[in-house]
Amino acid sequence: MTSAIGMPADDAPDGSGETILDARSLVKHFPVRSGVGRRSAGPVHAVCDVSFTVDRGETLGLVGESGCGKSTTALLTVGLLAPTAGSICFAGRDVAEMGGRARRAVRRRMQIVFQDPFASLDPRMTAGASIAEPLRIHGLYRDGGDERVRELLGLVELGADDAGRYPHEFSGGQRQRIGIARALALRPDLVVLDEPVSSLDMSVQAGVVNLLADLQERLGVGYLFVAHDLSVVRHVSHRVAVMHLGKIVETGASHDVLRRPLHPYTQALLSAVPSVEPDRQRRRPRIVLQGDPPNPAQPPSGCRFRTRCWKAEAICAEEEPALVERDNGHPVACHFAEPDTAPP
Amino acid sequence: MSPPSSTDRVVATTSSASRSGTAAEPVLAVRNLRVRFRTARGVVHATEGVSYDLFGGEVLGVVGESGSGKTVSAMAVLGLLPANAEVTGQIHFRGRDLLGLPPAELRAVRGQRIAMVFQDALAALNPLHRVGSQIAEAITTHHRDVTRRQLRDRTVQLLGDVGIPNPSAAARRYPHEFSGGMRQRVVIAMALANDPEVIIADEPTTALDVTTQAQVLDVLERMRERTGSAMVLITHNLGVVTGVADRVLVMYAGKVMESGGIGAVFTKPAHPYTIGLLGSMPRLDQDGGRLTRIAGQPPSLLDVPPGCAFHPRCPHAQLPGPCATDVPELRTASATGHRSACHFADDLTRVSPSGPSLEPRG
Repeated sequence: MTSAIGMPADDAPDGSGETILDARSLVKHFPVRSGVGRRSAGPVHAVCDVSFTVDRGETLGLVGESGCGKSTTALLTVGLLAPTAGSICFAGRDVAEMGGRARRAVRRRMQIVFQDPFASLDPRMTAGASIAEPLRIHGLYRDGGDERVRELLGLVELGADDAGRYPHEFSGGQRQRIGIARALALRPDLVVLDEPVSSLDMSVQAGVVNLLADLQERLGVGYLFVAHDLSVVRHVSHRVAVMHLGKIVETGASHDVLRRPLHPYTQALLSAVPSVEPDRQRRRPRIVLQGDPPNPAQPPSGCRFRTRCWKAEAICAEEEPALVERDNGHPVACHFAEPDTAPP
Repeated sequence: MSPPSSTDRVVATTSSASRSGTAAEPVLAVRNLRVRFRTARGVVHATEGVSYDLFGGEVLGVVGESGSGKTVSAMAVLGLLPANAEVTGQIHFRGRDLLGLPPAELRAVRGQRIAMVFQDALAALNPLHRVGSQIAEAITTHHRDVTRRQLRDRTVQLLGDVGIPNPSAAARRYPHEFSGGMRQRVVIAMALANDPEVIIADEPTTALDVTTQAQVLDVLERMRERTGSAMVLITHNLGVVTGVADRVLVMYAGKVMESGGIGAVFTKPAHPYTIGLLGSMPRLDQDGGRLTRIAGQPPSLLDVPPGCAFHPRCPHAQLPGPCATDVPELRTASATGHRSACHFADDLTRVSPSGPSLEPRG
């Protein structure tokens, strides 16, 4: 842990391995209006009955294609969106039932880092001011705030003199480091990372991924790591949850799910990841899914993947598969879950 | 897949008649391409002496990070650079130097015999026009004598070829009505409209999901095989290049650092930058652990380091020594048989004969 120079001690420190975030049956509908007179065109079911937990010091990777609801889930988690139904429990307490003061305290303990480091920093604020802002908001700046800002800059491997520079003077990777420092300013227990490296160059991305791993080791912070890049997720996550059209279709230990995927969607996602080994890539059967993901305003009946699935049968249209263990090791929502199947 | 129809032939007469180059002769030969931009802050050295050959029917991958000069060198081929660009060198296409060509003659080549697939399909398409008429425009720009019927048939056929369902209805829709992957297919259809001899694809899948990326690469490869076009595929994703390209060019700070067959370069890299790039990629077949990162930041093109542009970030740089003073030439490394612009390429490959190995620094 970092030294708490001039900072009030954290609230009761919790033991490790404890669940800090418990999202239960989250649902989020967005109303859509279109056409003449802006008639209601039925809600988009962005997130449908999604449950997951994140432990202290652990990384849960949330993967899926764009439009699957993973970013919405991230925003619901930190309270930037209100769920239509379901609850978020933080350190054992339901956030929705908390009063203003308790909720403010919880906000301090969970933070978010956004995808685009160019859009998420105020161009008219120096790096130092951006990092200090959360401290000021929570009234913690007067007491050794300068010191803390310097410490945070060091934590994300930036220099103390970078505090006076403006966002445009930094590269993408450095800006993302500022975003991370800002998220860590209040010593959170949970950081939600919404595609934190997908806008960065490969070599810069490696630096940020390493930094996140180091910080977790030193600070014991839990991550909800939202990304579409399976190889990055595989690299950073202890557990993964694969999302498809608002639902989690497969979840489990990262090495288990990604080495032995059971859901056809996970298998298709994995097979589509380009590899740098020429031989391996040419040998491997590639599953090319046909068509686009279905419209989330009118999802297919039964299993939502069935319209693109090569294993679909009548039951898939009639009965929605539950996310349960099917004697294969980890929970999967497919009637025909089995390892290693390829379309004919 | 259907054989080329009669409309196909009508529209494509010019290009198929001229497609007679022998296999040994490159379709496109770029020599010593140097692009500089005069800006208020100084001269930007976007590319410095880039040379490559593109042979008929092959795919050349160009990889590198943002600002390495990948896109600029492609834009130079098509004459699409802004007015403040100073371009020198030679770009031989079918024996003619495109750089000296009068604008009218260049226009006849661009979009017809050399076509471009842009990264951002939404920006490449006009939001106010139906996609069918935009594809038709790509044809009529070069073929004024095509009848409306031929034009419509050809447009619908192209949309069908790139895998857009219900192509005749799709031709009447606007860009915003398509998903990202479908939009990129429209852009590919537009690029293929005149059966080009060379396709330049600039990050064609970067904004797309992996599943959509696989679909688009699939379409691109299928169409390319069918038309026999050669392709320059620009991307920062080494995996994409591996699956599609025959040969690869690794660029850094406007220079070619390494080039050769895809298998040779990625299994026996002979440049520290390539080794670093490969090491920084998270891999699906490896569990956690640390990624090798390349220390430091890519240089500003306003102020490229002297000697080897990579030396400030290079774990193998010998300082003081040639790395900081002499610009290394792109020459064949004896151990691997492909070309590398590193003073110590031979030592590198001797140290790691089996594959990339580099200690992280810093």
